[in-house]
Amino acid sequence: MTRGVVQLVPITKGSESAAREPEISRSAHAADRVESAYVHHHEWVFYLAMRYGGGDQAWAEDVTQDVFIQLLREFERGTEIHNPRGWLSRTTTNRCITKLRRARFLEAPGVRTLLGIRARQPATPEELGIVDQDLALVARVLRDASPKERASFYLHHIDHISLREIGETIGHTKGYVSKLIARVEARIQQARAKEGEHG
Amino acid sequence: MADFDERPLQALDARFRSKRISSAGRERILSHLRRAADADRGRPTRRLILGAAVACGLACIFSGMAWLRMTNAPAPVTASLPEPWSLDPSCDVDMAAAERPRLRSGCQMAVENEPTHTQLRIRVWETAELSERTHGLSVHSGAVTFDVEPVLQPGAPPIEVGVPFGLIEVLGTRFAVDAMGSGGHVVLYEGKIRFTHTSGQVRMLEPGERLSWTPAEIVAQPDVARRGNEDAPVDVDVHDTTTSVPKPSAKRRLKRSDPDAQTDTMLEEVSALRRSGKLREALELLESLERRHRGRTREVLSFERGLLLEQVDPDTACDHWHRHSERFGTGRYSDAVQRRIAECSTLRPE
Repeated sequence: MTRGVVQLVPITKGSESAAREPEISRSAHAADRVESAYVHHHEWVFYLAMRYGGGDQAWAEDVTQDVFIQLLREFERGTEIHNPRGWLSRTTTNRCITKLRRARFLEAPGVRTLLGIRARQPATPEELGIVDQDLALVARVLRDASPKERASFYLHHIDHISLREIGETIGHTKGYVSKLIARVEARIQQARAKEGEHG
Repeated sequence: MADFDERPLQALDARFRSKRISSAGRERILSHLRRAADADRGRPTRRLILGAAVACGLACIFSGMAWLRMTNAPAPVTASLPEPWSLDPSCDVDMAAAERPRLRSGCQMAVENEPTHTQLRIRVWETAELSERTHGLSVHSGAVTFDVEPVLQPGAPPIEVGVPFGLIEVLGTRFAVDAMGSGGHVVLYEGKIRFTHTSGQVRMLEPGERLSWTPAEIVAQPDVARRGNEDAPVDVDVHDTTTSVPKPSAKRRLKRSDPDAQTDTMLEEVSALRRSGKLREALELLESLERRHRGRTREVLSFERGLLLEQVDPDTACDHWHRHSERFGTGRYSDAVQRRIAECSTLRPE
């Protein structure tokens, strides 16, 4: 199985992966540049959004749009982005965390009562057509995990990014990131143990 | 973390990865990006226009300020003013218009009025624009205090001080004029003046009274003068006083151990009595007050009493000026007192 390794680097810092990716022409107009970036990277951004959004396609499309709009603004400001894939990964992750946190806030009982609205719940594994028991269990635990726990967990176990880099992305220390990942792992273990007892 | 089984997670991730963005969604995002780019394309132009407008506005403001500065800029100061101006060397004069000198605050000068051979001494408190007139001066703007020598020539016309929308006629007096384009006011410290408004209204002023005017008319009733300068009326020199007579209750509240407060109250009473024309009562009160004080305060009170005496009993006033001169010698009012003694000698040869 192939692993999609993402390097999260600061905007102005070049990286090895940047050399492999089609360099966005600096001289091109911002609109052309962002369109070019969109053509090359929209599937990647959409995939990351799907991951953090628990498979909600409409939600992922919204995130994709927001991320490329932000890229357009960066180009207009004249920001040099040497590693578009890294920038997009980082921006998408942060955008997803922000959106998920907002959704959780709106889902809080007090806010729900006050505003009279209801945040959209992520799809259940069953709704996503996940029939495998263990897969459904992991999906359920991740759906209930906090945005930062979810992001840290994916970045660590799927993208294999170091704890330090994850900490830089989500704005926490390496130790706290480790704690977030350990919490999700413990919940999955507990759920498996509970499933075993019932099974 | 090390022995965590990643396989189900990877399988779940592979599911997500296999999902493709819908073609409708892809097109929607792309068209949205194009719209956003088009909208932003106009933004720099708008910013440019706004920036240009702001720059133009600032340029207009600065050029306006520069123009104002040029028009108000003081021309080189000349060594002397044309006759009959006699200038204090320390006086900062703006000779922008030779016929209408602009005198800065703090400037003191003497002006000789040739027809009457009378000297007008002036002190400028706020930048003033002055000009000559046949029998005096005109104050076009600014705040100026006048000290005018008595006109001793029999039948000589009075000294005139022109102000916007009015004329002040004086005969041996001390007063302050605050003139501006929209009117002004005059405060009389000693002597007597007559204010004639361009509308035809005429008002006589007594010492301690104040009169205000506008382009249309005289608006304020005479009031007690209050100025905090050395040319201010006597009662202000001793302690700052208010224009109103204190209420009896307030007077009763004063403690005997507070002589300053008592003096203030009595001076206020003197002012009130003068305003109401009860000069003898004012004189008695001032005399009792004078006995309580020593030094400079006593000198000031004595001078003030002399001014009151001139109005009540001119003969007694002459004796008073002699006594004042013997007691205080070269005090701050020596010049004025000597003038009065000389005047007494002229009118009442011994």
